[in-house]
Amino acid sequence: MEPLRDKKIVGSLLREIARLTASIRKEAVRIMEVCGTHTMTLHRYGLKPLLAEAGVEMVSGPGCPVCITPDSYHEAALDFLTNRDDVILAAFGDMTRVPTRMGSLQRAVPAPGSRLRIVYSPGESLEFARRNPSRDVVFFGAGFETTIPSIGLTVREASRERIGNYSVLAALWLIEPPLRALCEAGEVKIDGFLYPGHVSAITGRKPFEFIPAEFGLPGAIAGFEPADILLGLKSVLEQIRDGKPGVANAYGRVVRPEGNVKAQKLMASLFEPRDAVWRGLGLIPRSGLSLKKSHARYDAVIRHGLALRDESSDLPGCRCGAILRGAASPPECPLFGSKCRPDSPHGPCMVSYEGACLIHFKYAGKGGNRARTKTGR
Amino acid sequence: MCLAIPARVVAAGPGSKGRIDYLGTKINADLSLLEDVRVGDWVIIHAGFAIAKLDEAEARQTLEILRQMAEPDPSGTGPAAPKRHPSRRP
Amino acid sequence: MREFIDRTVLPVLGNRYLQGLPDASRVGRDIVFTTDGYVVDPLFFPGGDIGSLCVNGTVNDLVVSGAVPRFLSLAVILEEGLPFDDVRRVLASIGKAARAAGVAVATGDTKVVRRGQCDKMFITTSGLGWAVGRPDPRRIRLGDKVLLTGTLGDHSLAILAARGEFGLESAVKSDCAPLTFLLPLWKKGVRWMRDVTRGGLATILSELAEGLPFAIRIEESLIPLSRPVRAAAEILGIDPFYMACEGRAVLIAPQAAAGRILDHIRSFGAGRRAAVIGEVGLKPGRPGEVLCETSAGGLRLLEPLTSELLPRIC
Repeated sequence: MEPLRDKKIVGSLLREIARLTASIRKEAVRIMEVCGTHTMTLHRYGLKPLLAEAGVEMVSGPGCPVCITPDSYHEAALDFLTNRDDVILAAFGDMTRVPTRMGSLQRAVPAPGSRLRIVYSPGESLEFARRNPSRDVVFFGAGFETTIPSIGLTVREASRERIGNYSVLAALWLIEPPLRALCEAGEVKIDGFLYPGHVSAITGRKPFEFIPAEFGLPGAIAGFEPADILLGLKSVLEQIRDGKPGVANAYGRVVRPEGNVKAQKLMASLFEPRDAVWRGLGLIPRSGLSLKKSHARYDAVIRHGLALRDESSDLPGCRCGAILRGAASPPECPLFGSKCRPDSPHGPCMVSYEGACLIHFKYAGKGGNRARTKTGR
Repeated sequence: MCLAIPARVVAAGPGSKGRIDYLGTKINADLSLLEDVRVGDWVIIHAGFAIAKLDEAEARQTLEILRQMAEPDPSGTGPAAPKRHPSRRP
Repeated sequence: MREFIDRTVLPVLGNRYLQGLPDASRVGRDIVFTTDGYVVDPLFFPGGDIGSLCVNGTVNDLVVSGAVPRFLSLAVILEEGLPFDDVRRVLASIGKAARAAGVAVATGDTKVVRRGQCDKMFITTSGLGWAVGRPDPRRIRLGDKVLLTGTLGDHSLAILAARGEFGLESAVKSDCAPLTFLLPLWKKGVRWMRDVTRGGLATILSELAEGLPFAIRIEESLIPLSRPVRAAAEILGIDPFYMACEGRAVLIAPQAAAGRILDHIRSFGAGRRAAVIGEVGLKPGRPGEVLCETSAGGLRLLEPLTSELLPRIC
């Protein structure tokens, strides 16, 4: 593992990348990293400025489930936690901080006897249901194909064990539709893509094949260590240089071309596609998943009669949508650094550890809006 | 959405319940999404579930490519000496 | 919390002792006074318990404020129905920790409240010490070194492990310990020190840097981390820079004295993994910033923690 973070190796790869970009053109090559975890790695290791020096400008894409899940899901979760007695709402940590018109889950005061539990795994929430048979447990989760099979497994297990007090409020998103919407919008000038390595571990290369085939753009599936990302970018640049766009696999040790067929079959057996509204991208047909009727009793919306308004609800002035599309950068949002800060976030882009705005704020300063004062935060 | 780590399987079963070891720390891992997992295999763990097996031959190949890249740069340029402040962009 | 203090507490109570909101206040010419509440859950964790915590936490506040800890007050609130054995264990722990730190519990109080009115046990300790030094950030200069007395985050992880959260099985032990071995450093040239508690190293350094005309530059590869913390941080996606400790300090020392100071710290068991982790500098780095050179070679800015430390899924 160590070589994947080694300074000398990273330096060599950056020099390779600089040589490639110099041979391609004079201005920066723009590559979109789709996955929020890639964005996180780039920033956490300080790679973005180094890549900029090497001629590559990274643009953050829509692969952050916490960022693109509309308020309506959080509000449904809040409704459950604050208005139903003696229930347990189990959620991934990031989801609990997202601010909505009704506040955030973290700050919510639960109804009498009810509790919010942060979980690392959806399996833990099923365990809460087993241990508290007299309390209703709802797992509130958002995810792409990396996480969907795991959430599905808890539903299957609950069904097999006849666990009656468990259900899932799930904001499940598919990776291909927003990429297609992005390419078709033509709004962003992108020269190539860095594809998510762990989504690909499940889906294989198929979701991305339309991009070189229909739009002539190169891309590479990459892992999440610094060297993995740089190997992926190197591959994209080589495709540009050679005029041969495709879906390269720079994460061969984890990703098989066909993906994880067992996981795909599980998803198909439990879920069906639905039209879904994405924060910032609007309605995208067949871009989300919901539980099939056969498992409707594990759908918390149906089970508990939760109101799930399917509408986008950006706060006024909030440019999260444009930022997710890669059409704007965080400092270009009027709320950034002033009304929208990590301690008082407005949109999910400032909440998620992978949110473009939080990362920009945390790792690269606060842009033009910053006023350093001594009088504390 | 993709936070996951490579870890070694130290217990596989009963059923799909497993246990993995990462740098000496152990956690439970559900192995339902994979076929034929044995103790000693390396898997990728995401949110308590194993989502893929690590291909050791491919891993070795990647490490070899990287090791070769660690050769010193004859031109003497590159980011050996930092550095540009993180907030500055070209 | 900071807002609450600024808006609600200070307008009513504000006085010269509270100015700057120090962890410990100098009252009288040489007396340093501090207080803290302890509500840790669970009460017992690998490497410590609420008893050792309430002693060492307050002792350490005095040490980093330049005082030799001498006396503690101990106010205990117990929930009705708490097993007597637990109370006994905690008291034994308090006694042991007090002896190790060289302090005497000089006054105390116990209350029992009805079941449900407090969570098992709440403890408040106040501490009194004699000043032997004074932390002074205004004396910090370019080229001063930043030292860390040991590994980060072990206490934070010990609590997680003890709560049985996330099914983690870890060999971690809390770093809860007295920092009294640092006291002689006040006469050996150290400029400033803080214990690395809530918010972690990044938060502590950010708070210091905020008031400096310099940047603080640290190197990630120099930060000591225990194997259990390294592992759990990667599994759960928690950043060790933000994980709390209860027996670690960060110090600023002049370059010329740094070697001697490091030797002193390393001569004690709790300081055996102490290291110089950075320096006070500029360019790269702007006044008030904490800049970190990452293990892969790039630079990133460290900001203070602004909310709860949560495990990541993404």
